[in-house]
Amino acid sequence: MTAPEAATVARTGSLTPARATARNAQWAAASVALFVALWWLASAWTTEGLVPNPWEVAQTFWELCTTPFAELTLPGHVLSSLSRWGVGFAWAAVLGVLLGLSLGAFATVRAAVTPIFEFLRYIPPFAWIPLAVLWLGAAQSSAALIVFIAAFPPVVISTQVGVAGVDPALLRAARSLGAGRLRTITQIVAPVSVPEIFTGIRIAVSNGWMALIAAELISGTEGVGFLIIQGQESNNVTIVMAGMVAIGITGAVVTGAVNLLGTRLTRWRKTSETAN
Amino acid sequence: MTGRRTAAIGAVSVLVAIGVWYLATERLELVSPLALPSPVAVADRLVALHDTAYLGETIWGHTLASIQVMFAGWLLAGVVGVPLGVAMAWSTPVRRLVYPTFQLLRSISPIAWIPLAIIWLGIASSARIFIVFIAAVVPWVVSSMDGVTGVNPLLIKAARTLGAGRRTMTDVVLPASLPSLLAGARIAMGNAWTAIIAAELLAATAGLGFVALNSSRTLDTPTLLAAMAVIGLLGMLLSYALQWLSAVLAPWARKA
Amino acid sequence: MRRPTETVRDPSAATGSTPKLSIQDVSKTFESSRGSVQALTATDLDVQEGEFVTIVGPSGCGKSTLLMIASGLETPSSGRVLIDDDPAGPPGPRRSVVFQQFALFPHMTAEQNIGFGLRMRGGLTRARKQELVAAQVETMRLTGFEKAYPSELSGGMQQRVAIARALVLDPEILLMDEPFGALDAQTRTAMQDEMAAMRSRLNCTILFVTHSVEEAVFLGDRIVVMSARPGRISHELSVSSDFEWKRHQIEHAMSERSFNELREEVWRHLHAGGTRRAVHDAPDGGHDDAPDDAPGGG
Ligand SMILES: Nc1ncnc2c1ncn2[C@@H]1O[C@H](COP(=O)(O)OP(=O)(O)OP(=O)(O)O)[C@@H](O)[C@H]1O
Ligand SMILES: [Mg+2]
Repeated sequence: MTAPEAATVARTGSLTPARATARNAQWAAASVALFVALWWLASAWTTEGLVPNPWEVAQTFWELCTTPFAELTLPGHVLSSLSRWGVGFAWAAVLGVLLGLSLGAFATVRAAVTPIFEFLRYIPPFAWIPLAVLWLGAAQSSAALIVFIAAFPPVVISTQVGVAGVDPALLRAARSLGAGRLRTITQIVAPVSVPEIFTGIRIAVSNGWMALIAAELISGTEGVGFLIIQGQESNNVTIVMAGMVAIGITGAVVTGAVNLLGTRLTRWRKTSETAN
Repeated sequence: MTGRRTAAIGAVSVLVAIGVWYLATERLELVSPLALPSPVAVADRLVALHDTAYLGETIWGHTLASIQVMFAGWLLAGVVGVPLGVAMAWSTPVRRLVYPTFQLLRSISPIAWIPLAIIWLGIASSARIFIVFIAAVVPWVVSSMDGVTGVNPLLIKAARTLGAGRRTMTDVVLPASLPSLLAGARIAMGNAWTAIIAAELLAATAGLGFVALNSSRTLDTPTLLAAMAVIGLLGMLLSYALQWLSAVLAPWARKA
Repeated sequence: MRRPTETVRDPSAATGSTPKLSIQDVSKTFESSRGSVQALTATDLDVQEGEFVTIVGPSGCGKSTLLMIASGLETPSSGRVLIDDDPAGPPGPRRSVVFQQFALFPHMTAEQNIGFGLRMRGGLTRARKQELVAAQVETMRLTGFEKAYPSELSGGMQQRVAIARALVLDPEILLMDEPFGALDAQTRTAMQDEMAAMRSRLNCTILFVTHSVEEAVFLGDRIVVMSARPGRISHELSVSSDFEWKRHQIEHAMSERSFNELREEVWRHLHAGGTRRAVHDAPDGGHDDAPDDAPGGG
């Protein structure tokens, strides 16, 4: 829970949880209504076509769901993006956890890899896009590579932090109970680090999604990023905005799914800790 | 392991990496120089770009262009984001009306705003400032909000009983929320640097991202790698600079 | 710095029986970036088969260090550790450890924690493992909490899981490092009584580190007093198993004169760090100077 949310809870503390949730939902609705109203005003006061009003965007969003634009319908573009995101993210998660574990567990590996990793991670993933296109062409795989480059470092770093934070007493206990080095890593160190690993995974999800959009803007042939850049090239703000809405929704859904998974995998933690 | 040994292993590892790169490209010619030029070629290009213009500017000129826009967007985000964050922390009505919309809008990747920025502002620097602003404003808002709400209420009460009065804000709340704010500034800077590169790939006539994209289109990979190296080094430098600044401004805060 | 077995000063050498656990001339120096710390100077300690030895001493005197060396988890800077006259080697199922802060695996249920050592060992059928775990759950009164995670258990239960996890391996030697130190006073008293009762069931040699003099006197057949800077054994005293209060609860023992005399004596040595050996007999015991008679049967 972030601090402001905690503050809200504290302030509505006298209400029952259900009533507090209902009240928060009312305020959220009011907030969104206010935003939509301001948006409508903005579209009324600006030159025709520069800021479409929310209703136009909603209509276009619906039309894009059924009529293809830039070859595919909106859900088609979203699925196409998600498939590339999935490939890059999966590689980043698996290799990131493996590298993070070895960095955390072996001082020699840490000493050898850290300087190179530290330099490379300061190159924004977007700066790799031209190189990825050069290497792999404007194919699906170059976008997946960019997702990987964006999602890999947070997983590595958070895994390493998690491993470093494992109570040494647990390692001693495992050893005295007969666990060798490998089993200590797979059965104790890795699962105990899961909460930290998931902190990194969450960042990796949104970094990867953002990098994918960028890759599609620059060198895409399909996907939501490609859709909005096509919208821009035909000077159609409504399509661009409908695509942005789809990007927001997809990002939120994926993040939510990963959060759910994280909560399930860390059920063993105290409830007060998981609320984080 | 001792510090000296760590440093030695690190140095060896970097040298080996560069050595393998050198052997694979320059000596054994395992990879085409179009895909990956040798480190020597990249270094040569970097030196050359120091005083010969590429796409109208030397490497310094492009670096300056990137940094200027990045700083402008980052500062603007701070100027807007910090008061917004503080207002949301202090005033319940403001928080209730603004925070849900803020959460809603931040789920849209900053990058997805680029096409909109191009339609609205063209490829002028204002479009890039806009993108950097979108990317940097979120950490500014979140950190100032967290910083202020995180101030121990006991501290404020203590200050009041000690007669701080109006100066509670300047003398207690601000210093206590400074560590969080500085952490936010650092994240905002990282986001800004990432965003400016992305924006320059799409909407620019100068800058390091612009150099990277154009050199790749002309298959000039040494220039592309030189630009990437400068981008990485500057990103690192900016991060360390802000870390140093945090340590100077808020020495009581532990490194996050 | 190795000392041949024959010259060990312990009286058990004189009686001719081989100690179950023999710590010989063991010392430990920790090297760190801030210089080196001598945690333990040359230390000898023999523990007989079935004996319950308690170690008391001020914080930082090297009790945990001594126990970790005895367990094989820490290698001594000098000296050696023998089990049944053979070098003890790396940690194995013959020695089980109960740690100062329980060290339960947070992501495993009580049951999974208890079964961990069995899973690591292999060679047992699934059914047999389940049987052994179930038996421990039963004796440690954990029934109904098999599927609970450590964070869902009370301190006392966590400690019972930790003890069960050590005992399920049927160790010859049980090493316990302030097992009740992290518990509240009430739970602690209950666990002390439980430990005393359990002890008669266990066919186990026990080395038990504690901060509490009462605990040391109540549970131990022999009390080893350590002193700090540098860490060393400053005194040893035996407690006859004939004392009537050994068979009652600790609350009851506290009001006994002989118990309090012993307690005061240990306190004196803790403060002074003397070196004299002492033997304490039950008033009616009529024992002679043989502090290390295997007391398990008493
Ligand atoms: N890994 C280590 N590195 C450096 N010094 C250590 C290490 N472990 C222990 N020491 C030092 O060795 C000394 C003895 O430590 P030890 O943990 O054995 O004490 P203890 O008697 O168990 O204390 P306590 O009753 O507080 O548990 C202490 O001064 C401690 O600081
Ligand atoms: Mg200790």
